[in-house]
Amino acid sequence: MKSNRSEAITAEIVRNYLETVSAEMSKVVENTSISPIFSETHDYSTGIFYLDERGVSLVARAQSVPVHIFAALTSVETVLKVYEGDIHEGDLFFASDPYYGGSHIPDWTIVNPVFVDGKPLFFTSVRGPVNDVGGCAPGGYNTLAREIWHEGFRVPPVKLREKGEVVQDIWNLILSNTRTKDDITGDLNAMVGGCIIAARRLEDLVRKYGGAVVARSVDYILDYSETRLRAEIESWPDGVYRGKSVLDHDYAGGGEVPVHATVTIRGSSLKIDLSGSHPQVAGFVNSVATNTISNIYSTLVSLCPDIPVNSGYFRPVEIVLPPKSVVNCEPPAPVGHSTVCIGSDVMEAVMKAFETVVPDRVGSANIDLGNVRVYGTNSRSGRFFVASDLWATAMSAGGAKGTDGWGGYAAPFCALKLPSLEMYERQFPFSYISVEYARDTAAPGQFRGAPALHYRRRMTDSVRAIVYNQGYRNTMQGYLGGRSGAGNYFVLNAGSGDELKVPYACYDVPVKAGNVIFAQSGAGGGWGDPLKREPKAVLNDVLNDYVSVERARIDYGVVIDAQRMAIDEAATRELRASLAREASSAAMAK
Amino acid sequence: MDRWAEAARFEPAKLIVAGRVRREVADLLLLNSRTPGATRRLALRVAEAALELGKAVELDDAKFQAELKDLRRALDAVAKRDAQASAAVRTPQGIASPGEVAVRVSRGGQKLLVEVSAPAASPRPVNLCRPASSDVVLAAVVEALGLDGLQTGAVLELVEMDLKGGLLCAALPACVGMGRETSGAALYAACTAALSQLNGRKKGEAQAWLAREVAGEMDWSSGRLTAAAAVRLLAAETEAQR
Repeated sequence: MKSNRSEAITAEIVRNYLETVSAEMSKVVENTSISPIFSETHDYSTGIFYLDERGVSLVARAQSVPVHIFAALTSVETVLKVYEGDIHEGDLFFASDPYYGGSHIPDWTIVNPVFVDGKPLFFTSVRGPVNDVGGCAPGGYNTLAREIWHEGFRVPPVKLREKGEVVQDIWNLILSNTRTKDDITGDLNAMVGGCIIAARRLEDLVRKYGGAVVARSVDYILDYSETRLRAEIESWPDGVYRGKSVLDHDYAGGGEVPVHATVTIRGSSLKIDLSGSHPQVAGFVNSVATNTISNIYSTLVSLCPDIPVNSGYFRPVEIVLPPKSVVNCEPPAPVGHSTVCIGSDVMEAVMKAFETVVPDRVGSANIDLGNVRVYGTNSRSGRFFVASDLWATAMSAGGAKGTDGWGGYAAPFCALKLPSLEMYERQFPFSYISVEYARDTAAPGQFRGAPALHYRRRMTDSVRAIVYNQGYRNTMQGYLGGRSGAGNYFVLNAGSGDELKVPYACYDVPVKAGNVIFAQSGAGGGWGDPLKREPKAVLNDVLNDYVSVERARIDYGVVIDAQRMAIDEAATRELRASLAREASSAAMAK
Repeated sequence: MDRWAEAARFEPAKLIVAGRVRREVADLLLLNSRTPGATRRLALRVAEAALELGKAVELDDAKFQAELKDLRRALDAVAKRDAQASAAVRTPQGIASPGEVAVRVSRGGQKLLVEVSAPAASPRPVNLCRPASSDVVLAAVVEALGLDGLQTGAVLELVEMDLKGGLLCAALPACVGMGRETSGAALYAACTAALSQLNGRKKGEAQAWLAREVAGEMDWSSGRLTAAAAVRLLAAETEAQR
């Protein structure tokens, strides 16, 4: 449908309005939630969905965690399917089960239909992981899980409100299946509140412009993104491109778990096929299709960051997922860790496939998440607590063309924030010792990855800990000749007689008051040949203590006089030429 | 580890509204079961039984008072002195016993006083919640005093309980998965032993519903069912699915 200039301007106003509403929804959740995973870390996402004869479309989202909100699309579709003919004004839905529109059990999704002319036209939605969902392991990450029932309380789409009335016993059932009911009650109210406020804004929008104009604007918004992406794809060379990523282990002794991506570009269409990926495994890294698709989308949107992200963006994309595989599992496979592992391996495999298609736009698309969850009684409050801490999570950023990896956060986390250490110390029995970049851990590249973080935290109460970790061996990959960074691992009770190094996982291990938890959160991959890095940039890295004089010579071919802290230009030229010849010979030999 | 680790928790919720099964509650029940067919059948039959029972029991105060009078007469006949007994909590191999349950019964006015003392809550799944412990005590009183054919809830007025000890008054987050078969069975045995001293009846054995051989159905180190138990469970599920 062709739009005239006036309609296009109106549509753009509507698009910005919808994105502003998504952002407001996000702020409501941040400002009113209780658990730090929401209020401090911002680990949730908000979006607006639209229903027409073509089905459900994402039309707007706030800056947040892409994998959440792309997957929420399936939650809305599942609600519509399960409650077909039974959706009324004033209804409000909840869903979390991975096999009913969810990703993993901790990700709770609220869906609020907004009625226009007696029909649900929009859906406001918030999706985010709550801090506990019952089940065997406090915190919802059960490294011993072998089936979905080991992972927590399963909730199919249910009504939290019916025709405006709170369905109290359903609230009770959901909340009584969390160990930290008081906090999570606040979080759930925050999610619901965000959806309801956004719904009011949408009603205002329809009142102002009328349903027909809004509908036409949404069509324009979706078509615009589709047109823009198709134009981009057409500018890319036709062909078949392949990428691969490997997860260290499946938590069940099953060894490495590879993900293969084959990207086919034909004209203005893309096909992404994950055939060849590992069959579904015994441990909790299996991904339901929704989660896999959401991770594929996350990579795609990072390739064209100036195109508005909505379902129109994804129309040119066909996705093929092998059944009963780690990227498209069937029940009752456990899936708890899949949102990031195997999820971010899906992202990375797809990103690697695009390495030669759009070399200037690729970069680390992996998280390789590891984390430690501690739980016990907080002596200050006398209450049970369970806490994770994203500072300890493996995820330094990779390099990309024109910029080194920066900060201690991988790109796919997007709008997540590292929490305030002081707030965490206030809320949990922690005392931070240090969080600092570690020398010689950054992935070498023309644009290097951020160094790994070394994290030390003292527990002030005796607790128990669960560690789940990936990326110890298969670290975040580099691009276009950039290398991989250092891997991730944890040490519980560091420096004590009970010291336990954890490269993969451990379950319910005691950590006494006064003992230290250490984490090396791995480094993002580098971009481009390290021998092309500006020698002055390498010297700066040495001066900043990111790179040693020795590694500057070995990895970058930059010779630095350690006494004067100055570059030896002649020796550097000679060494780089020599290293380039060696690399060329090695490539020829392959 | 704790109550949440044992299974999904179901706080009171309406399963049937105006004669129709409520989708949300039924779905939650089924999705949190490995044998949804059998679970559905069981839940609905329990619900039907409760509804039928509700229809059958007349909420007739005169009947209630008459039965209470009979019960007091029965109590007068036996409860002329105090008695006490104890029983060890028997646990499956690999789970340490939390100790003994001690019961003292005495007459307090027109009531039978049952004082129970038990150890503190156990970190293993052998605890019992207070309502479940009360049920066991009532069942023991009914059995030991030969109170057959009860028509009303008058027996609740006859017995006054004083339950002490976290093992039999478990609060969140204590585990209760095997509580009835272990601590509950000990409570029943101690109650009936004490009461049998009053009326000379033979000391009661734990009833079948308390003495389920659950311990033999499961490998407690892994939490997995034995092959034979799994086969039985699957057969029940297959039957229910039909």
